Amino acid sequence: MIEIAGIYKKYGNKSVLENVNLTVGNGSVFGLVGINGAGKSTLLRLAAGVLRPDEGSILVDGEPVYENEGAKRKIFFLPDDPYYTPNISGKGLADMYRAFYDFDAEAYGEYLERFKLSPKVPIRNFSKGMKRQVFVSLALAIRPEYLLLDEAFDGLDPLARLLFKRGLADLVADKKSAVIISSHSLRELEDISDSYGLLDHRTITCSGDLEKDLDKIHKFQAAFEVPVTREQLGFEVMSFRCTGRVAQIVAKGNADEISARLNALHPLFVEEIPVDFEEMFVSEVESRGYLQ
Amino acid sequence: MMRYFRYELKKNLLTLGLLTAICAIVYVVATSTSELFYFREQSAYYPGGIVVRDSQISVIYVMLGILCFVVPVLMYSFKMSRRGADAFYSLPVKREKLYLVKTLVGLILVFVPYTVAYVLGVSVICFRENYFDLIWYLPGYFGGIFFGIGIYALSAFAFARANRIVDGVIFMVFWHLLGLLLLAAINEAVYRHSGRPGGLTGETLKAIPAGCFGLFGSKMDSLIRGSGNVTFGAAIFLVPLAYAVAGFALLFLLARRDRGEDAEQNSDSWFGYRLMIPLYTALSIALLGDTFLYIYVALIAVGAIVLTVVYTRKVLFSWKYWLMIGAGILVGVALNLWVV
Repeated sequence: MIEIAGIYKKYGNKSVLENVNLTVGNGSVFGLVGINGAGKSTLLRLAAGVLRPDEGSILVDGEPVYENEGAKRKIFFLPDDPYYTPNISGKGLADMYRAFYDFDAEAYGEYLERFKLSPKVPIRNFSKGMKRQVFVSLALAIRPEYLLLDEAFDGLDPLARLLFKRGLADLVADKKSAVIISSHSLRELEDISDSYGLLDHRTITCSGDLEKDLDKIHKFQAAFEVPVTREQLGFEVMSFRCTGRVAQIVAKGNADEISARLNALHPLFVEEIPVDFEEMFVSEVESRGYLQ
Repeated sequence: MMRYFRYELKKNLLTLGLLTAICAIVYVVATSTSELFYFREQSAYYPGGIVVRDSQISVIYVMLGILCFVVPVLMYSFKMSRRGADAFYSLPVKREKLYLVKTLVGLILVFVPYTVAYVLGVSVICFRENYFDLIWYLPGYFGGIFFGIGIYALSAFAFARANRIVDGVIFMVFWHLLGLLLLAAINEAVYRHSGRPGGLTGETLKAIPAGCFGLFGSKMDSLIRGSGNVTFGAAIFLVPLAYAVAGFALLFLLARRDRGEDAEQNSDSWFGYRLMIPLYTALSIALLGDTFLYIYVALIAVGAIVLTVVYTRKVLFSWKYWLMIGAGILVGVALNLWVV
């Protein structure tokens, strides 16, 4: 289990994280979301032991991570822009990580083969997505107990994303690994995450079980005889968009109550449409004053 | 850690081969093409006979010195990119051990090329007709290792204080010359009115490992050529030893405090620009001695400003940096006037 408690982190005088609390249990995939510059990468770098928190603690199975070889051996961190030396190949990369981790060379070879990548070609010759595929293969072949992925799907094509998600699902199922993924590809996150956290204003402002929280948010589409305004609705909404006489409303709460309130405005029609993670995120950040 | 050491060594084998080949070729060419002696006709001024020329030991020593500057750049620059810091600091290895492995492999990258080149070059000399006391090449080899360790330790410590490669190179130059300038300033203060030479003298070279190595090299050359009595003095051994101990101790102690977020940022270490800019400004002005002119002070101030631009990466830097430069100038002028 990864336990992050009361973390504060500053870069010089600039506060990046304040009182961040988070627990990710084994066998789960945690989606870390937030707008650009929210501090997602910083939080992952802290969890990986790259950075030392100014205050608070980060524990892996009860042990602090920073400068703790035992705890760090259980963690593999894949940053958004991974490091490689100019001439290193996929094989060379495996040699490097084999010096630190129990490494499944066979699985690594299989993943590279699935991605149609040669282990002998220098990584610098690969496209951005291919480089990502090499590192994704590496992460899956190390089979860590705790996998930290920053901008996990960045640059991957749809097929590679599918393979990666399958690999992650296998890892979580077989080894009961805990995975923390930060990504802006919320549709991908929704596919694999069971819990999520939204980083905003330097802290985790909302988190929880993804499925349950998606159930708490409702999106309605309604058409009115005349265009309506947000104020006319008379209840608190997370997101409101009106194009002509058709309005889209996202709100938290009981679906029947929201529907009843909308019906009180005598719409031409009202229907509930499904909400996905991306809509939930956009509505959430919108309700916090962004995109206004 | 052994697995990591083996990996790091394997990763650097190509570099090792390249450095070894360069050093060996340069030294073998130098020893095989240089004139080791010549016959001099008797004249009114000189007796005739064989004149023994340079032993060429300085060539390999210069190459060793260069390696002691270049290799730390190769070994410790990983922490100067965010990508490198992310990769290495997230690995299950403590920072001290990471530095230990990098240092050991760095020393191998320095001393294997040196050893191979030395053996080949001296073998060439042995096979050529010469009038050297060849036995002195043996202590000359071990002397090179001793001084090389001192220079490497100082270079490694200085370079690792930086957050960018360019800053690291500047810090290495700072630290390698600091002792020289400090001793020269003291020399100037003590001997200026005594009729003895002050400021920078041959003696001040003993304040830095590279200077001690240079003095050792010239004495070894004299011994190999069999030209007269040579005395070394303890200072040229003790000074590099002190630098080696201090350099390695600080390198590993400060490794614990290395922060991942500092990569690619301004090099704010107290062992870098913060200390060096005012110190060098003050010492340079103090060492102007009798040639003290405000135009020289202005030139030194310009140098300090240029360094501050490199440090802050800003042309319009804040008042605290101007204060730092101003303090250096004031202290330098005060020292110079006090000495006068």
